[in-house]
Amino acid sequence: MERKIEIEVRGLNFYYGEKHVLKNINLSIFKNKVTALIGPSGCGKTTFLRCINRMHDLYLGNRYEGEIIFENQNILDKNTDLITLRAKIGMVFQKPTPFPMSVFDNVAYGLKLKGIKGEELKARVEKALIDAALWDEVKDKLKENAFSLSGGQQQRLCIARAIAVEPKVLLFDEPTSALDPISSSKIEELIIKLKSKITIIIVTHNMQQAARISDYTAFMYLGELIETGPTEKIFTTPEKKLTEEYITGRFG
Amino acid sequence: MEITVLKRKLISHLMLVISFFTAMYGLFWLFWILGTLFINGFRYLSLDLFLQDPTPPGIEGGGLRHAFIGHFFITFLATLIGVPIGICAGIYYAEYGKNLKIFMVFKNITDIMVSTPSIIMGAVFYALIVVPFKQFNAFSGILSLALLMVPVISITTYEMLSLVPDTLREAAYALGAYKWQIIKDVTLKSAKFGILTGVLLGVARITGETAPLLFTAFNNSYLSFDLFKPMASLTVTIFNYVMGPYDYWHKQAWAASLFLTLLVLILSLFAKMIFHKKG
Amino acid sequence: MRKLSHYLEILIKYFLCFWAIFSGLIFPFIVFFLLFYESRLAIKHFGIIKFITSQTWDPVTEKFGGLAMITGTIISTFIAILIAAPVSIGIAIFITELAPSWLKNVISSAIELLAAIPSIIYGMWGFFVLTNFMRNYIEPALQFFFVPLPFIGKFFSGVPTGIDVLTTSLVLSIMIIPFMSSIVKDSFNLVPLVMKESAYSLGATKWEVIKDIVIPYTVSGITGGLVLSTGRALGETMAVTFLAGNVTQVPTSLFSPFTTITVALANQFTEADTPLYLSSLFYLSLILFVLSFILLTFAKLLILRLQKKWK
Repeated sequence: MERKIEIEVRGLNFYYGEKHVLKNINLSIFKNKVTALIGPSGCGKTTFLRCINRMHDLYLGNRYEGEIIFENQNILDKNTDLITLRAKIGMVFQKPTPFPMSVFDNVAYGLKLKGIKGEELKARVEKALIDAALWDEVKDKLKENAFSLSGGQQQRLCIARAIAVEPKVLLFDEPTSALDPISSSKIEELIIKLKSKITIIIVTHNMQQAARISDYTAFMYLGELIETGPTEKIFTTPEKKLTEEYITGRFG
Repeated sequence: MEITVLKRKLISHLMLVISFFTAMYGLFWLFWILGTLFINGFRYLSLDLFLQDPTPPGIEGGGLRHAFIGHFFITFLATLIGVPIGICAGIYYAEYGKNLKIFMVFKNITDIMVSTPSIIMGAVFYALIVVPFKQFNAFSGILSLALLMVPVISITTYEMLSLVPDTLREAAYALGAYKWQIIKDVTLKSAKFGILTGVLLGVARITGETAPLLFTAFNNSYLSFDLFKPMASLTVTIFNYVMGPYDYWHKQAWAASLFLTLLVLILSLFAKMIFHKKG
Repeated sequence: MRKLSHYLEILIKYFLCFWAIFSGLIFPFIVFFLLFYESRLAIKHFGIIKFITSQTWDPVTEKFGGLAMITGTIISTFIAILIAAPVSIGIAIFITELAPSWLKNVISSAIELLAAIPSIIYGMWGFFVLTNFMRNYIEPALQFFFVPLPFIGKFFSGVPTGIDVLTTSLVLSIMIIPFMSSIVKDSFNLVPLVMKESAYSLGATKWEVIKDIVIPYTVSGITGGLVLSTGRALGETMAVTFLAGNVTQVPTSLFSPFTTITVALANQFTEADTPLYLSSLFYLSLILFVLSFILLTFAKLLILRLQKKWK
């Protein structure tokens, strides 16, 4: 099996004010694979995810140390252009976050920012909606307000919006935790389908979900990366005792 | 970096720089107004201003003792009337009226009355009191300021009481207390700083008011304590002095304005401090 | 003992209830009814349409029409809002999105101070300081640039005196900036963080997030703030009385002296010597009260709508 590295994290430390939140994280994220981040609440998995698109930079009092290499550059570098970076590394949040505009405009938003117009815009919105398995459900209500969609549809709309700008990497922050089981499984199918084009990192609380959809799993605890490897191996023969205890549900 | 990204970032920075300048624009006026006021006010401030009554028009000297005393007198009595009414209404809205739609409508009307033009109060009490007595009088001025203050006080009281968690009330109910006892011992006590903030803001508001007094308390060149005679206030006196022809009047108006502004600013600042201390 | 408490319970309840009804119903009704009752003579004499379309205001022949005052009020308020709105939105953006937290507090407290300055101080400062500045520098400069232009040139005609529509509106705008910016700021703070983050995660710039997400989300709050400030500016008396010039005419230029409802009330109430004269002034008060009451109700509803949306 050929493995190409998309993102290489080396010695990442993250401080939130005085608090040392992430401690010396080293991790390789493989291209066109799904990597799941698991661990008990407060272990820093979401914080880590938000380092990858520098979301923390929106707020004051954060400090990064170490390197995250993406496209041969350290994205933690001061000179990184965050606008371009975030267009390449998209994100989907816990709760659906449709913008206060029509279904079409939601998906078109990121494209319009890039200056895409007219027929090309229409074509790419349609493609994104098809890829997000939402086209059949919304093709007759593109002009309607995005809030009129159901929760699961809203979340797939957010995925369509994120993939419309054709990112290399997509970060998912517990994307199904606010959804019902049927909507959740649709999103899971979608994620598996998307990996042929996009590298995916997903934070999840749900270990079955991690086992079902991910190729690699990283287990975090108290800000440290305890163990990482192919999902099958982590879930069947973990090397560390802590990982085993968490996987078997003895804490967390 | 692509050209478009660069352009978008430039636009973004430009807009943010503009927003910075709008904040500076606001501060610019603040400093200009307060600066002029402080320079002129301090230059013309003297002890005579507080201790002397006015000289006859055109003769230099004298002070505004009558207006300072009149202003305190009017404001004090207005507070004495307005505060209890406002607090009572606020308590009812928060403690009894929450589940009654009609009282929530009344509360919203009260809220709208907060921003009613203050000169309207003057017109109302002119008709209600000045006309029947056939004379401008301090009493009508006091009432117009008191009623101006009622909505401010009752809305803050309502809002502050709404912040008190219901569990606190329920705990007291469980002990078998009457509702008025709970209000007195539990809710009012835990919201007292908030209510005090509202009272101070209300006092600050009426202290700076001129319009409601123009044709109620009117003006008086002499010190008076008679409720049914015209009475001087600082604000109306400043108005007349600024419009008047004498240079020394203008100077006294600056000094009196400085005093008035400081008073109002200190009251507002104090209100804010108490509110934050509580939080 | 138990009985006493019981009676107290009922007594206190009805006592509080009375004052609640008083401040939410009886008093507002008294205000409306009294103004209406006192204006009955003028209403009978001039009707509604005639009163608000006639510019004549002549105490000698007892012909009264409110057109000059009403248009003066509306024009000065409108220009004040036109100046204050972009500035207030800018200030709200600066405070919520841009300033570091220590500066945030300093700036918002300073802007709040503007609201605490009594309106007579604005009037006096405007009268002694700003009018000279406007007459000597700003107004001649504006005339130099705008008079040669077609259409809008005539709005800048006339002899600049500093006592005119422009100066009045400018001072009014400064007075309403703190109200408006604080309402806009509060609405901006209601926008969920994750919504903004979603836009950032698509590669939007800060301004794009404000323009496309924050402002569309808070449209009703911003409009509410605008309307509320309009209501405030309509009823402002002291600042305007010093600066308008008290000339009963419909202003034709930014440099015309003019009058407003509040100016007419402040200057003429104590001089009204005939019943019809006084009644006409009450008629103006009634119009002002109704106008501001409607606007404020509208503002309140808009703001409530935004708050409900995010509860």
